[in-house]
Amino acid sequence: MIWDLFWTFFKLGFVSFGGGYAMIPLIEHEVLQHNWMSATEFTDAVTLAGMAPGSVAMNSAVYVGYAASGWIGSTAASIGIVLPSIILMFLVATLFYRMYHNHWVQAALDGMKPAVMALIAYAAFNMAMHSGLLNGYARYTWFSVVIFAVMLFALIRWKLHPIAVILISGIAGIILYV
Amino acid sequence: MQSSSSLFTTSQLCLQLFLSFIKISPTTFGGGYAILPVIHREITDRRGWITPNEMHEITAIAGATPGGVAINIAALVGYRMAGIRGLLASVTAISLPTVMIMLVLSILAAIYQHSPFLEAAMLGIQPAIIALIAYAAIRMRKDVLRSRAAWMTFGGSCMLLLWTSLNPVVVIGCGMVAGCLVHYLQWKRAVNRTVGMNRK
Repeated sequence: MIWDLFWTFFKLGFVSFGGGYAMIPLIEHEVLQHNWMSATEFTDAVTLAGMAPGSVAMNSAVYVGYAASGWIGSTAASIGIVLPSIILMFLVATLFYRMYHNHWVQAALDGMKPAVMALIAYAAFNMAMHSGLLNGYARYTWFSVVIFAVMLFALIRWKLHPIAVILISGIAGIILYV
Repeated sequence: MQSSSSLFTTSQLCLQLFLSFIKISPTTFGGGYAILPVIHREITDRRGWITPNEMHEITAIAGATPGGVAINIAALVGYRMAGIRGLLASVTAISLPTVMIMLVLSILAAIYQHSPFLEAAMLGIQPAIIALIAYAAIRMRKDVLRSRAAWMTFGGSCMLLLWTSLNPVVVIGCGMVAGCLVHYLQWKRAVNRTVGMNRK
């Protein structure tokens, strides 16, 4: 069981391009196949994993591992999902810093940087569209837009610390919605 | 490779990396790209370990390889600063606190998941996370979009992402090809110009 958890998440770690929510369907498939959790339990797990700090994929691994066989299962699953990153990044880093000054590598990087920037912008857009924050003219739609605008302004203009951004908006949420 | 090794021994540097990333880890709400402003602030602004431009390159590579973006960035920064030991220190430091927090949350889940205070706070934090991700993109703009080719790659990638269901890695691959193509065209134009000048 422990070995199974480790091995499943180890395999998933190698194919998790893009990380985050892109991995959830893959994890769900494995979880249901191994009968570690039910489909509804898994949905709850993903919600909680998204709320907690850290990557969604890794948090899901911790939760699934815990549900399957306690804290030892959690440890096995999280080591399983992190190990491929360590192996791959070690290979990439040794290769990359050996070829760093090659002009073709530099040219490829010059093209990759704007593409990744588009990916990040798209991640923000996608999250805004799918979070349910923009559904209709509900009260929280307006509050959400205001929180978004104020926090973005504070980040750009006052260089507000990201932790302060999280704390302030959390408190704002409690004041506005409770 | 170890630019700061004159100031610190590798072990001291690993400790510094470990402390930096263990401090960042619990604040990485939203995961992925929302963490970028936090890492930038600590690694390039405060510590001055890596130049902003190299940080954008590390971001690009971390996004193009499998695994969580945050973990990949930590691994690359760690390797850049202190080799394999730095890589292990950074990855351990960035994973450990979130794993512990998630473990505690898994245990408490049944009790507190439906707390109205927690739900309200999360509803407030969600737009702030979108702001953090948007800020990560805005921060790159100044250093990255400096040529017409870069603007065109950015626009093309946005269109691919919005209108097709291409895998993000394929989009990054297209960017890579575009970069090489621009480089080739510039080189060819430069060659033609020198040949033309020689003829005169």
